Amino acid sequence: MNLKERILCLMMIIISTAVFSQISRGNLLNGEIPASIDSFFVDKQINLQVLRNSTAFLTDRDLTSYLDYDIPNRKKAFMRHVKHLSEKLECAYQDHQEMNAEMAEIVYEISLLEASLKQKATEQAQVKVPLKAKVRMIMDSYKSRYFTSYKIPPYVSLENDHDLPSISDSPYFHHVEVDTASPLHKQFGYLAKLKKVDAEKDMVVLFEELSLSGSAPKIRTLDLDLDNEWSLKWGDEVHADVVGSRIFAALGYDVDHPYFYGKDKLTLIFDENAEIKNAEELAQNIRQIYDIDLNPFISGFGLVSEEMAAENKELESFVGSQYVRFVKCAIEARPDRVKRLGSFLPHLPENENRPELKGALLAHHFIGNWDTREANTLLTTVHNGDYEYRISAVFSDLGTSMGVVYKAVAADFKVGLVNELPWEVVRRKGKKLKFTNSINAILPSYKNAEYEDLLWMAQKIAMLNEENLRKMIEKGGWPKPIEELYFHKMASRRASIIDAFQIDDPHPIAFDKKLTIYEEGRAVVKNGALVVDYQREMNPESFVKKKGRMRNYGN
Amino acid sequence: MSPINRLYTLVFTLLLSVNFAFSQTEEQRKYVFENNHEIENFILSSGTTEALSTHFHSEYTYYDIYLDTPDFLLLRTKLSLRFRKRITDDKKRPITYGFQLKSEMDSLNSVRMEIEETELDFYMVKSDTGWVPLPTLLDSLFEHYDKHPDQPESENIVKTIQLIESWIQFKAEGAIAPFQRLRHLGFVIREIQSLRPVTCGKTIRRRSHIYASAEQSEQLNLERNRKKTGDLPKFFKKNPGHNWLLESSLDLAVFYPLYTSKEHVARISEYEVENKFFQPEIGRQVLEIYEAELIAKFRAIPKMDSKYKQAMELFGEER
Repeated sequence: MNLKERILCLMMIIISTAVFSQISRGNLLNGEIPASIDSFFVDKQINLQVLRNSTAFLTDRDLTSYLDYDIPNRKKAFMRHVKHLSEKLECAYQDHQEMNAEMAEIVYEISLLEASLKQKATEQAQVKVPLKAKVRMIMDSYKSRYFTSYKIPPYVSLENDHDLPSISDSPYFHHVEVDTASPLHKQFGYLAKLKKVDAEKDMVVLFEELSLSGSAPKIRTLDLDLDNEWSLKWGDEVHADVVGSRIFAALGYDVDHPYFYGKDKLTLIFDENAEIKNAEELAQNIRQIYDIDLNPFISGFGLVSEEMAAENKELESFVGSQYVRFVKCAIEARPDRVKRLGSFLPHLPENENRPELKGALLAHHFIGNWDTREANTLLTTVHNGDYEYRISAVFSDLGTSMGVVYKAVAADFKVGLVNELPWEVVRRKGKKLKFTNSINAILPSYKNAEYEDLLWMAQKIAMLNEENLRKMIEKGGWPKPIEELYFHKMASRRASIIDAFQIDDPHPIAFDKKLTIYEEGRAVVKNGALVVDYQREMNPESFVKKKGRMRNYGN
Repeated sequence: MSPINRLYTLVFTLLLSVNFAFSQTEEQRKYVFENNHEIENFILSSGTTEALSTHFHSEYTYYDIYLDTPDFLLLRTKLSLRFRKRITDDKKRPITYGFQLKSEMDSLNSVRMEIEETELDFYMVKSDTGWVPLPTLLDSLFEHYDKHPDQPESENIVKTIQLIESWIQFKAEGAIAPFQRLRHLGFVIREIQSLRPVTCGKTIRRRSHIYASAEQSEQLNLERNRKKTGDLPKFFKKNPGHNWLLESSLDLAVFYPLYTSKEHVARISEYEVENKFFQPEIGRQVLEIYEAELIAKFRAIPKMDSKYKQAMELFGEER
């Protein structure tokens, strides 16, 4: 395609937005027709062979490997979605239709799904993070301290809309309306509802299988309907992930759905035919896989009794089965309605300058997220019901946040350390903005982020009011004094962003950098810092000790 | 070795080796009876055997069109490929259309390969006058052979068959699950493109759950079957003590040839029992128990041939 044709197509996309209402997931192609889909067209018409090669990769169960890697399981609903898309293009081919905006949009979606699945195939072949990648993470962490400095352009003005990036809804971002009926902190719940995620107050899950991925201990479980999977996690991310995901959702991004469960609020049931049959075997295996002692996190185990079933009816059919409960844990939804592919492909040329991804850098800084690797991005298809699907990009695993320390020598890191979360995200020094947060992967869109992109996100962050912030932090399940300290810190971090970008604060939130909280006559928070290793038996990972998951949390 | 024999060998090597690792499969047994009334009464009255109970729950009507090449390559390689329209007696459930490739039952192993394109509604066929949904074309054939099986094919029906054939020719290399599998099995595009309708028929299917009551489960030392809530039939949601083990279908079918054959109608009656237990090996033992009871009580005769193979034999195809 030459430049003229590309511009023509772009104009058609803008003019024919209404065409996409059937997809109802916003537009993927907002700026230009990417060269990556040129091969799908020949003489301006669909190249059937190229299209069919892609759809075969995405739908043919007899194709099981890609570059000698196993192709991840392609779920029925996902294949159905691909076939729906492909049929539209095959009809266009038979009609000898010339490329138009709708065709380009569908072709691009198919090409994204294909690229993401290939990325997952190669990524899942690596069970452990290679040393080279670990070194890169540390390098990027140090490097990011220097690159996160921005010259304030003299011409940028909030009064002039032209100075801000124009961002319309896309699978990467949706504008969240500020509405008293559905406040920003409820956006996470709204997204969960669309995906049919239903976390009970007292949750009962069935052990499904051990997990071998990641560095935080986790297993796979099923809800009692056997319809939806839940990833059950322990350790230092169980609070931070819950809050980080809710804040990203409130800002307009799609996220995973983690929920915190306190003491005895979640019961894990073991089946006698399962790979793991009781709490002891679970702890042994977690030790073997993650080198973490799960025992301090366990609050009770044994056989489900009649008394337990009387308290929770869901346990009735499991009387006599082995169970285990925890002092704290989190579960993350893997709903049947959401099919997970690979990353959302931040390295694609068309994503490198996608303004909503560039702006996401400030959202990461706001929650103090460290692990910004491609592996923590995700492309999904979401079933909207009635065989309608939408593609959606997800910011996943936002739990390496809210106060992070990392040790290059000990190859360890720890998250959710409230004292490590700075009171400010950004400082204005003369004509420069200087950020305090380190990230372990400088993805192209973060490298390319400019002042205007961050200003756009700063405005979103400014829209969070006191209620929004408080409600989202409450969901994190921290002990009350720590929750309060986090609230003040996050309010302060928000204010630092608003100040630095010189935005009129629509909802000023009071905070106290010298916050002091007493419990039973003893200061637990003093002058804005947690000063005790708070209720260690209930918080085995500790909120002050810096030994992380690689050093068994010092236990 | 002739090309056909080579294909036959290849198909079977694949079916018996790697294929099942990534196939949808179903484990089933089939029976015919000397006295159809006895088994029909047993099914309709939700009868019980010594070890197991049955619950008659629905009657389905199926309309099928089977495809094959002009030289019946699928039949010879022990495969069948059909379009199916499913109508249930529950008016709330929509009519569905599927396109399924199945292998014949093997004597040593009752597991059948099956691969289905489960949704046909969005496939369109290009005609002289515009786009026609594939199910609309299938409906024209089903209606003709249901209501006027003895009448010669009208011009409209001939045209409909041509359009279905044109869809097959265009999609032979496309993302249609049975075609993808045929390509994997070694069929060349030309052979897939030559597939055309060879028989059309109607089946009345009476479906029963086969289960163990709580007491029967204890006697058989069976644990509770595990199914997703969405996959569990209403009967078991209402009766949580009953343990769903097998599913059975009593089929009365009639088929008509769409080519010049020796015989012009094939009537088939058979009883099919399918393993539904989450542990296939245990489910197989339950199948054995039920089979022994069917033989003792109704003089059931085990049978392996698919309806397609039976119909083609009744039409006089000797393969």
